[in-house]
Amino acid sequence: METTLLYEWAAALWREFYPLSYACSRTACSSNEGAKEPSPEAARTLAATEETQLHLGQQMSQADLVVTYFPSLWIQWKQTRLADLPFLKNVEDFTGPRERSDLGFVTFDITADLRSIFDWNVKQLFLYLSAEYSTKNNALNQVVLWDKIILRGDNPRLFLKDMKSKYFFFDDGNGLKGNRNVTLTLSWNVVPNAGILPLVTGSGHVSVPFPDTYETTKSY
Amino acid sequence: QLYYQVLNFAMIVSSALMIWKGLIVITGSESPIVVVLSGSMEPAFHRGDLLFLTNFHDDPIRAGEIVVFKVEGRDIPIVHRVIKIHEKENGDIKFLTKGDNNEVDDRGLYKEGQNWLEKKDVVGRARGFLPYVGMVTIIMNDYPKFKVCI
Repeated sequence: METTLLYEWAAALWREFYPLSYACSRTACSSNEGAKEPSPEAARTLAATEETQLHLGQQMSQADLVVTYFPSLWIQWKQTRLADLPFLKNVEDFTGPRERSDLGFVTFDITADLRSIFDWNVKQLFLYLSAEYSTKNNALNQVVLWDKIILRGDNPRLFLKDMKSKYFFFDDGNGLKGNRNVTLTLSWNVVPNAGILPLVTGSGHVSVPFPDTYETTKSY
Repeated sequence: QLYYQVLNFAMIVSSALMIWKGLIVITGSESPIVVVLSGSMEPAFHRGDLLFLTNFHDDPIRAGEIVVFKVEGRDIPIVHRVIKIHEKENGDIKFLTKGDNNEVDDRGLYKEGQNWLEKKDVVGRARGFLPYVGMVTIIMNDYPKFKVCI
């Protein structure tokens, strides 16, 4: 157990500092092309590179989408083990007009370097991961899956792995089943010491495809 | 002389009122400046902070925005963050809110049987913020210009 964690942490550091390196853990191999050091002037400007990369490990059969943002943030939804694929359940929903609604389960990794957003007037950063998609019933749906408050003085570099959604990913209806186009984006709300409250959406996004069937047995 | 003083005072009061009403028109919100009353949005907003709101009709409500809304039947507005939206093609939107410092979403605060909020419940979106300034209102507690909010 100890060695696995240390290995993955070392792999994450390796990816961070050596752009064209391959980092392999027991279950995944991914290449990290294009990770850039953010420049201070580019703190609020957004540019994205989207890359599709093929995995080298035997368990991998499909492409994994890794997205790099400014200032270098990544979201990578996990496709390394069968248990980590996003899956769906259809459960009783007391908040809508129908009996049952879709409940989605997504596991993800987030790597973020937020140093360039913090300036003299920033008190706190409210980071959140939202899923955006459209269904037959509703033209636009946005659900916040996870959020985090980062105070001035907290470590601005995040290496989060195997994260589950903090809030239930309920759909208003059964629109997640077979939905190939659920887009995860990372956004943040800058809370200043005094002044304007900007809401910034990181550019670049990751698409999560949901399967056509429901899982009845497993949960997170 | 007394007459002059009274007139002067009336001029000040009415120009203050004009500025306030002008602000209401410019921002489109019925209450463009609000004071935060509770700690449900800490550590972003503490008790006594001032918030500037706008409520433009064409501004869409999106997840992550900080909105001030009123629950039907209660007249104290609440400032929390939007965490879920479901919008139809014609623009009808229903959304759910939650305070940053709260463990659960706001369904417990809504009306009995109400599970979602609608655009008509929104007083405005928080655009700017000044810390501590609103403490004066909390202390004085009855100045008619500001509406206090939870």
